[in-house]
Amino acid sequence: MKATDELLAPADTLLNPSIEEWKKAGGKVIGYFCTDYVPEEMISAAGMLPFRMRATGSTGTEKGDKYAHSTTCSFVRHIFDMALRDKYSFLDGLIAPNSCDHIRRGFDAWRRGKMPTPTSPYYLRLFVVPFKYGDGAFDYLKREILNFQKSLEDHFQVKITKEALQKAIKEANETRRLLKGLYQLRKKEKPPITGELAHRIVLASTAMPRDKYNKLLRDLLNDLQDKEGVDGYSARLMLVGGVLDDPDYVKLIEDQGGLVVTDYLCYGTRHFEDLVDESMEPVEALTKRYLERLSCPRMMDHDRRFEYIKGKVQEFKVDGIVCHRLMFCDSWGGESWMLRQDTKDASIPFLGVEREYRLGAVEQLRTRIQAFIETVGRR
Amino acid sequence: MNQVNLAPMKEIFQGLKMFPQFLEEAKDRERSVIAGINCYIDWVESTFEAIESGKTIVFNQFTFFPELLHAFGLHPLCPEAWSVIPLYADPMGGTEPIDVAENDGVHPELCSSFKFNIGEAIRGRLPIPSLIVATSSPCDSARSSYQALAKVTRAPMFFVDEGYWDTEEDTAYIESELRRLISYIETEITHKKLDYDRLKEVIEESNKAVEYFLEANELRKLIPCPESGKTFIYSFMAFMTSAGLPRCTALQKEILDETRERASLGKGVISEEKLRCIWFYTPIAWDYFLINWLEDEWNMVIPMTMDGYYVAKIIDTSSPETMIRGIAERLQSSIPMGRQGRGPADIWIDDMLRVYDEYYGDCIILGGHYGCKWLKNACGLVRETCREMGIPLYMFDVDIFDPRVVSAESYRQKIADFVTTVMSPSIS
Repeated sequence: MKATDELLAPADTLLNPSIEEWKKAGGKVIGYFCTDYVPEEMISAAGMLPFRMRATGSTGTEKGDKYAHSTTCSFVRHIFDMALRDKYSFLDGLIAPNSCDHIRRGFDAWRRGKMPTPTSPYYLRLFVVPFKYGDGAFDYLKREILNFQKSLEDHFQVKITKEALQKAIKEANETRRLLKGLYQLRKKEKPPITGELAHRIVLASTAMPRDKYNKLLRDLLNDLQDKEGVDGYSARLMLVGGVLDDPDYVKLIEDQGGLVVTDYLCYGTRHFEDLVDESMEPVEALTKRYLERLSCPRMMDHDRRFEYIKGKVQEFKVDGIVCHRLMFCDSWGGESWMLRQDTKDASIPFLGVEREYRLGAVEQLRTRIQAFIETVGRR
Repeated sequence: MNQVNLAPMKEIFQGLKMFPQFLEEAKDRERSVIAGINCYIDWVESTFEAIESGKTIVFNQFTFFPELLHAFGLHPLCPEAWSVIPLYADPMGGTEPIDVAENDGVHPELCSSFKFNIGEAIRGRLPIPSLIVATSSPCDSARSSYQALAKVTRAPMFFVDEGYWDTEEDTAYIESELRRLISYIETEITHKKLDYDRLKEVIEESNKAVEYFLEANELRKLIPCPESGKTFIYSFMAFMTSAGLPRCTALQKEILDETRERASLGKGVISEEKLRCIWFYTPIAWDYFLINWLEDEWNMVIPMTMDGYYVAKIIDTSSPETMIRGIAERLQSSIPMGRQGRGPADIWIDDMLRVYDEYYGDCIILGGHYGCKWLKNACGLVRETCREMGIPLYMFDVDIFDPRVVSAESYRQKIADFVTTVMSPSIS
């Protein structure tokens, strides 16, 4: 299926054909960390392509370790390494939210001119997100979004109109709806796609022009309606955790007999679950959505996250939760510990696993997943 | 979570109370340290009394100095300060609660100070508070741990969000957060309005303590340095636990008096000062006599540390608005580690360079705590900056609460190597 191939491929490379085409046509690409917090609609409204930062293809961190420590998250270390090897020269700017210590300190290296940039001055922005909800936080974030808008306009000499923003919101919402539709299909006893493929498809939404992506996904959803579903799995799993941009990790889990039917991932439900209210003034709507959306553990509302997870366990008939965490991630470390207790109280089988950014310790992971599936599996 | 049983902690505390006696022989040298320990002991004792008499206990994260809580008549208990009780009694005293936390599934890379707190809460050696007040600074570890602490203790938590930069908008945001906190305490905890006259008294007391502290810090710029870097941790603990109370003010005055005495005689804290080291992080909590060793073995003084760099402004007490504003400003950009951890790495690096300059540093040593990601992830930048500026820098890894991770022998040897090689022209 052509649509599927085009949607699956971006996960394997940093620079996919869509981005190359975009650049050839004179388009600008803005890298950003964390789908959870940076309003990518603003980037789109400025006529630029938002690209979520990955270190796909990185094989080591020898160069990147110059600015890292042994306790620096391996995602950031690989990003550093790729940056120092000039792999991000296709980016015209970079945005990082204050999502965690690793990312914000990593971004400090860019801010202090330690990373090569293709242009000078280079667009760099630390996007500040409150850690909680409420009136004060809303006003803070709204101001931040307006400042973000102005900074894009000033640096790139563009005007972001209300209409452009509304259009970008509409397109982004369409992506979100389509992805929700995709995930609904995974509720079936025999879902039409595996977790690995679903992961690739979500990932592609962060590395492709939206109109093209939406069309491809619509075509795919049509194709999937009548597709024979996945069978022969032993357990329905929910994958929970932080940044995971490696579909091979999901494949490894599924190769042990499990089927990942839903998730709580930033390249997953957190990316698309909440829509932007198109009836509101667009900046207010973005503020509301990015503040109140499904959160990662940097936000101080663990109980709300667990309620969502619990709901999905029931909705998708999940047999067990696999919670992955990048080593040295304190946010997910605390969250995993709390989830372990919550899931125990709710009688939901739970497995916590640590990982590094690049897939490694494969045999240990296989063994742990196999054992988990054997204990929770239905067949 | 186990039932709360503070008896073991009380027993350990009885041992800690004897600590000042061991320093009596060296009281000329350790006068301020003895005063610092006694101030801490006084706080711990008052805390046990408060618990036993049913006073309302509120946890305050170490980056939230408790003037506001004192004004409400609440008893603040800073978990980071509380958990030091077993540590001061025995360098290995923190290892048990750390192990309890890790055995319960807390990830081992978490800052051990917070593993302490969670471990003590799990095994019932942390009192149950009526409220937890936490802040967004300095780091992920703190935010994650305080959510976990709220879960274990089942206490409500009010989280004070502090913004990221030092703009007027950020200050206004913190002010609004403080007003929300006040309103929350009034509605949910005390069921009565904050007495702003009492807040004025508390802040004026806090201002006095700050004035003494800042004056002593100014005197430390003298060559030779008239006070030891050992006293900073005691000052910091006093501010964390007792800012706005006379015991905190008395300690800062004691330290200032000692500093002034030596300064007036042109005396340094050590007889022959050869090296001035800026230790721009918190000290190693279990290596009580590290600074004594630096002073005795290497004639090295520490005129300033990060926990000593409390660049607080005097708060205007003329109105409730100015007082809330003043507290907000301190929260935003004064409290050690909160100041440096909250925002970009520039703040920590610029502070370090400024202090190196103002305090006539000869070198910078950073005993960087393993669990401290906001700091460790900036070490590469610090290394490059110091190299560019020709500042001798030695960084090493250590766990400042758990002696099992890196031994004192090992890093002391490395410090010795640094001093005898890189700094040898200064000491010969």
